[in-house]
Order: sequence, then structure tokens, then C-alpha cells
Amino acid sequence: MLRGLAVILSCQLVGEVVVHLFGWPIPGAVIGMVLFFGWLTLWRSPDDAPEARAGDLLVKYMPILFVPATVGWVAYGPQVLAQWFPALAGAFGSWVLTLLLAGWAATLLRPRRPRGAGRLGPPDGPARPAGEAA
Amino acid sequence: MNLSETWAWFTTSPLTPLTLTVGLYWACDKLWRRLGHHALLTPILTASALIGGVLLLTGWDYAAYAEGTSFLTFLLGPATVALGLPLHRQASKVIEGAPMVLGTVLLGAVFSVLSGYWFATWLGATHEMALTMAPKSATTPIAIALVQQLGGIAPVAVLFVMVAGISGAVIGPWILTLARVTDPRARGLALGVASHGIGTARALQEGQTQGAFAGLGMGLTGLVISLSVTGLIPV
Repeated sequence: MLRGLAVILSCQLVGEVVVHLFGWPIPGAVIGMVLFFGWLTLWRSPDDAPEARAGDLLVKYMPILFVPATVGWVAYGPQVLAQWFPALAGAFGSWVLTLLLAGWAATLLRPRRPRGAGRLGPPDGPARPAGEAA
Repeated sequence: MNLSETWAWFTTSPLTPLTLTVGLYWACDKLWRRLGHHALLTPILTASALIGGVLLLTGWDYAAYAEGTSFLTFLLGPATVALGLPLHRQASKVIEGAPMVLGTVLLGAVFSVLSGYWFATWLGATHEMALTMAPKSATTPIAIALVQQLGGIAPVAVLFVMVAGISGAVIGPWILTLARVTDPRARGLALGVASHGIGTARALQEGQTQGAFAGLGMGLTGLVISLSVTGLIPV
């Protein structure tokens, strides 16, 4: 577990350093994600590896980590009030169409198993729901 | 008894906002499960609404609340790195799906920026507001950096990022089902592209495949938006 955390933090640290060095406009954590993926692939980490356990823990509780930022509606909502209609309708409309476009594009471009497999990949069971506390 | 000293500690310690956040989120999560995962009760939506309500009622400054809960916000970085894990578990599917991922991300990211800017403009928003909306499908840190660079209003950008994210968490899966997008890879990818990290967290609740493709979609969409936004919209 501790080793897993150390690896994850190191990946982010390297990512942040790279981003700052080259002045890239993306978060270091995204580079860190690629590095962590590379690390897991390199060591062929099984599901009970410390990296996997630490990673599962962080991924499982991800939704709650967004809460402090989303509570920001309290502070920044008033700034949009004067143009609330174009702001909300524009953001929501653009979001719906982006989701539909991406969903349909992905469906059209998805790789199809030529033969043998009668279905597209095994359907995943309902993975552990995030935020399971009790 | 040392009332005033205790009160001073209570109102400034990070423990208070952290307890409020974790406690209310837990209660909201419990409620969501109890009522059969109803979309409108998605914990991130209800918890943010309730906590915001508490801040407004008590006159608690948001900046102080955000400071107190910065520990949670900080962990978003490592959690984003950890998204490499579902990616690793689904590596063969991801490699097989490379053309799908690249095509969808390019199309989705460019469309999201263009439609965000032009919809807002056509509906009568100011140029500044429209600029602020353009990168809403990127994750928060990317969107803030880009909006600053473009000359928009950075804190408001967070709000638009949240509209894209929370919509994805609340009704994203339902819209995809209505639109007959059933392939788990396509569902994950669409949620990651349109709704970044919050959509990815929601996709992970559907399954590991959805989560892996969402995480990849989120990362690449952030990349494409940051590289293309200045060329796509009139600054």
C-alpha cells in the first residue's frame, strides 16, 4: 500500500516537473496518469499489487474529492446571474450535443471483433460503486 | 469554560469544513443508495447543494471553506494519476480501440469548444462569458489556465466545468442509453470527453471498461482542448 502511494505520488511529481519545465498547459497529474500506466505495464502489476490497492482506493473515493470545487457555485454563481440564461443554456446545450456526438462517433468507430466472438467484449459487472463507506 | 477561544478554534480549524464535507457526502451517498440510485440524488450534486446552503446560511466565506478542504482537492492529483490503473487493466481493449479513442476525442473536444463559444454568443452572452465557456469539457485545472490565457473570467470557468461534469454524473448515462449508445467503451469515452473527471468517476461506477475509456478520454480531451482552443475561437 505504502509502496503504491509512493509510486503514484512520484508519477505525479515527475509529471508536474515536466509540465513546469516545458510550460505545457496541461496538469502534471495527466502526465502522471500516463507514467503510472507505463509503470504498471512495465512491472505487469497484478490486481493485489500495492500499486493496485493504493490506486483502487483513490479511484473509489474520487467523487468526494470534487465536492470542495463544486461548492464554488456559492461564490461564483452571482457573477453569472446577469447573463444566467445564455450561460446556463449555452453550457448545457453544448454539453448535451458534445456527449451525443462523442457517444455516436465512438459507436461508429468502435472496433468490431471480426469473427469468433459473438459480442463486443465481456460486459462488466457493476464495478464497486464509488464512495462505499458503510 | 473557554467559550470564545473554543469558538475561534472551531471556526478556523480545517477539521470543521472537512467533517462537514465528509459527513454530508456520506449522508447523501447513503440516501442515494437507499432510494435506488436516482439520478437527481447523485451525491456530488446533493452534497454540493447542501454544503453550499450551509455556507450561505452561516455566512461562511467560500474561500475559507475551500482552504479548509484543500486536503481533499489536493488528492484529486493522485486520484487522476491512479486512473492509470483501470487503463492498465483494460490495456488490450484500449490498444485495440485506439482509432475510436482518437477519432472521438478529436471530434468531441473541437465540437465542445466551438459549440460552447457560439451557443453562448448566439444566446446573447458577452464575448468574455463565451470565452469562459469554451474549455468547459477540460478538467478544472486545464480550464482555469486556458481561460486566464484567453482573457475570460477564471472563477466562472469553474462553474461551467461543473455544469459539464455534474450533468454527466446526473443524466449522462441516461442520455447515452436513450441515444442507444450501449457499447461500454463508447459510453465511457463519451462521458470522459464531455464531462472530464466527474464523468469519469461516474463511468467507473458502471464498470472498469467504462472507467478506463473515460479516463483516457478525459486526459486526451484536456490535451486537445489546450492545444487547439486559441485557434478555434476568436480571442
